[in-house]
Formats: sequence, structure tokens, C-alpha cells
Amino acid sequence: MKHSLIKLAIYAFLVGVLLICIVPFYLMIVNGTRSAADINAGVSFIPGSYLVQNFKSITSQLNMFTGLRNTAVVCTAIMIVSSYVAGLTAFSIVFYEYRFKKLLFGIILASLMLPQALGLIGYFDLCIKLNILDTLSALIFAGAANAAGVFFLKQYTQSVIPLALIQAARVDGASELRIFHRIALPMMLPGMASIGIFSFVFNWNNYILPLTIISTPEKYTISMIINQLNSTVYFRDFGAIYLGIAISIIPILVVFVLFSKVIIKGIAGGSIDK
Amino acid sequence: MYKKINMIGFIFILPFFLFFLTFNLYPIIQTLYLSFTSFDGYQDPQFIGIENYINLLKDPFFWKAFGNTWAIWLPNFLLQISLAFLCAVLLTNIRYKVKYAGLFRAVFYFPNLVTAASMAVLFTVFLDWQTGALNQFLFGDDKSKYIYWLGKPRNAQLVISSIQTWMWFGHNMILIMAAIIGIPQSYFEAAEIDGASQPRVFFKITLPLIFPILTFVVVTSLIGGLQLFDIPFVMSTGPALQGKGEPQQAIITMQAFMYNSGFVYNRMGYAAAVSFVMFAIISIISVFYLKVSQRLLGDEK
Repeated sequence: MKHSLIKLAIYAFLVGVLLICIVPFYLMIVNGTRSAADINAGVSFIPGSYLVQNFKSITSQLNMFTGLRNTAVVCTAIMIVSSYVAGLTAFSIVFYEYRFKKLLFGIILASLMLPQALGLIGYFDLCIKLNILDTLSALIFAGAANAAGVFFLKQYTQSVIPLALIQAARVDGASELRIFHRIALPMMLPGMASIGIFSFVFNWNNYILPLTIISTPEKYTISMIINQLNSTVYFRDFGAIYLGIAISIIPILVVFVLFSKVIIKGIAGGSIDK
Repeated sequence: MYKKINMIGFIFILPFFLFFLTFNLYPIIQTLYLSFTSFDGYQDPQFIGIENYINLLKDPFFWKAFGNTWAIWLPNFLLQISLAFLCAVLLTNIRYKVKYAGLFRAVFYFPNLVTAASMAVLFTVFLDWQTGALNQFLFGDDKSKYIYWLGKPRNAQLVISSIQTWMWFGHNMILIMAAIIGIPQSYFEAAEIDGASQPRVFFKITLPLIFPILTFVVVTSLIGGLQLFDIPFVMSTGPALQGKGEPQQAIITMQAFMYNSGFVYNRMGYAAAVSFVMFAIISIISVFYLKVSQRLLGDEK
């Protein structure tokens, strides 16, 4: 009796927390379908019929789709380049012996401790010198070296690729680059996919870097567009604003629905699925 | 033959370092250099020694931002860690096996993935005192009771603490859960057979064994929290007020102060100095905390 009461209390608490996590998103979607007048009149958990008007309103005020496209370009480019480079790096650290290897790996690990925005002023200055200020390339270059990804992939490579396999390929006369591309890369792909997902989410959400580097509205990323949304709050067109926020996080929602297991495993270091 | 092979292996690590040195490390060193100059973003930087640092330590606005950052971080941290702990313990408890733990875990984590800038806008409209959903939900049509969530300095700080908690407790919960699951089941089973009470199991088994991960959680939360930027920056809103940390500059954080110095007032050298003072503060506190927690851990053994 006491046991089941406690159990009930535990579920009540957990469901309460669950609601706190979900309700803001649910209200966001519902309000995205309601008119500003309805929203001003009171809270409702039932969708309205203003979706199309809100969509027209938000897309006429802001370049939502340009922002989505720019962000998608940046995130995809970083995901591909940084995963490939991290894969090559992890492969090099696991299967080769050379001087300074420990030191170089140590530098990669130490760089994880550096705050993300520490070099912001210097990066702005570098972009001026390289003449890449206000370009999407500047955002891509900043994310190309993914130190956390290297660390994760090194562990992953060690656990999935036996040294004997690499040596057998060498005996067969395959070149090192060919071994990497034909043997190691396919085996590392699941690990690369999970660092790719994290890199995608991180860069999708990045705000301070594009804010400093990008100044032309046509090159704005989605988080900058969303920021504009907030400066237009004085339009008081709340339905459109809610819909805009919802559109900006759809890709994140899709990634989460498809990959939530991979993501949670990645954070917990694999121990959680026991 | 192996010498040649290892040479190729060495070449494989170079692309990473090419990107890392050029686009990550060099900017940091350049930032350090610029912090000793009067760089304004346009003209050639003039070397001025430690003048930026001296001015910074005397700048009341910097100390205001410093205080704000802590005033936002501390309540957020206490709330966040308690909630994360409670949820992790409940979801991993072997006596009351909770069903759908995977679903709870995933949903609790979700707010962490979502664009902080978007969430800042979402909560700005939710918390609008006149037409926001929260006031409407709590007080209905009785406008006299409506709360100025974002209009009063202390309220605005606490609102941001709460949003940060909402975004981050799930992340820390997963880390703590992983640590608890890592404890050998036999310990809990033995305690169960001995009839140990739940609090006793928690304080004598769970807590000591997950202490290292707690240290990690505290340090990463501190490092992240002292660099807080996106949410308070976007929430201090209005076309003319962007990033100014209204109300009464209560939500201007150190990072926002850095951004404003560099990119609004064109005092790049000064902003660079802010970056490095922040870095110093974060490093000192992290090292101090690690030392203290190691000593505590040593005592318990």
C-alpha cells in the first residue's frame, strides 16, 4: 500500500516535469495557428485556423527560408568536413607511431578546455585579413577542426577496428590512403554519424559567431533571423512570431526524433543502455 | 618500411592541425595580443600595454556584468542540479522500477538541443506582461495581478535562471544517470537485502560513488554559465535596446559586455581584454574547485 502510494507520487512528479518540458513547445505550435487577437484574448490548448495567414505574415516580414538555407549550408559543410578530418585524425592517432603524437593528442584534448568565444575578437580580425568577413565560409572554417569529435572517434576506432585488419590490408599491398577510405572509413561511419549529429545541432544553434561575422541580411543564419523576430515584437503579430520560432526549430526536432537514442548515448558515453 | 608508413600516418593528422592552428588557436593568440592594443576594428592596432586591463578592473559596468552573471548562474545551478539529481535517482531506482524511463529521459533532455536564441524569443512572448501566456494562465482576466516577469531587474534575472535550468537539467540528469547505472547492481541488491532505508542507500552508496561525475557537472556548468550569452542577449529586446541588458542592465552578462564593447562601441582591444579576464576567472575557479573536491574525496577515503 505504502509502496504503491510512493510509486504514484513518483509518477506524478515525473509527469509534472514532463509537462513543463513539453507545454512550451505545444503552446508554441498551437499559438502558431492562432490569430494575434485570439492570443491576446487568452491561453488555449486547441489549435486555431490562422496558420496560413501567420505563414504569409512571417514570410513577408522576414527571409525565413534564406536563413534556413544559409544555416543548412553551413551546418552540412561543417558536418562533412569536420567529420572527415576528425576521422583521418583519429585513424592517424590509433594506427601510427610518430614523434610528438602524444603531444599533438594532448593539444587536441587541452583545446577542449578553451571557452568557445575566447578567440572571437581575434577571429574577427583574421576574417578581415583573409577577406572572408561577412561570408558563410568564415562560419564553416571556424567549425572545421572538431576536437571533441576527434576524442570520441579515437575511442570508437580503437573499439571497432582491429590492428590485424589494417596489417592484413598492408600485406595485400593496399596504400595507406586506400586502407583509410576502403576499410577504416566504412567501419568508422556510425561513430562519425554521431559526432556529425552533435556538430549539426551545435552549429545550427550557434548565435554569437554569426552575429559577429555576418552583416548582410541575405547571409543571416536562422538564429539571427529569429533575433530579428524579437526586435519586431512591437508589431505585436504574435501568431506569426510563434510560427516563426516553430519553423526555426523544425530541423532540430527532426534530428531529435530520428536520432534521440544516438544523442543520449553520446552524452552518457555509452554506459546508459545497459 | 614502417618508417615510411608512419610518415604517411603523420600526414593524416596534418589537416586537423592546419584548420585548428589557423582558425582556432591563432585567433586566440591574436585576441591576447589585441588585448594589449587600442584596436578599434578599422585602424592598425597601437600597443598600449596593460591599459585595457587596468581600465577594465576599474570599470563599474564590467563589475555590474560580473555580478549579473553570478546572480543568474547561481540560482540556476542550485535548481538545475537538484532537479537533475532527483530525476536521475527516481529514474534509476531499483525498488520502484519506473516504466517509460527512456521516454522521460529523452523528453527531459530535449530543451537542451533547441536553439537558445529561439527559446529566448519564445519566452519573451510567453512572459510578455500584458498578453503573455503565463500571466493569462495564472491570473486570467485579472490584469491587476499580472507580474512584470521581464520588467523588473531581479525578476528578469530569475526568469533567465529558470530558462537555463529548463534547458540544462536534462543534460546533467543523463550524466548523473550514467554514473548511477555504472555502480555495480550488487551494491544496491545487498543494501536491499540488509533492509537499508532509501536515504541511507543514497547517502552511503550512490552519492560517494558518483562524486567524480558531480565534480564534472559543476565545473562544466560553471564554465558554460559564466559565458552565458544567447538567452539574456536576445531577451533584452526592442530594436534600440538589443543587447543592452534592460531592465536596468540587470541581464547584461560578461559575454554580452564583451560583445558590446567590441562590436557595438568598436573597442576591440578592450573586448579582447574582457575575454581574457573571463578566461582567467573561469580557470581560477575551476582549478580551485577541482583542488577542493579532490581534497574532500581524499578525506572520505
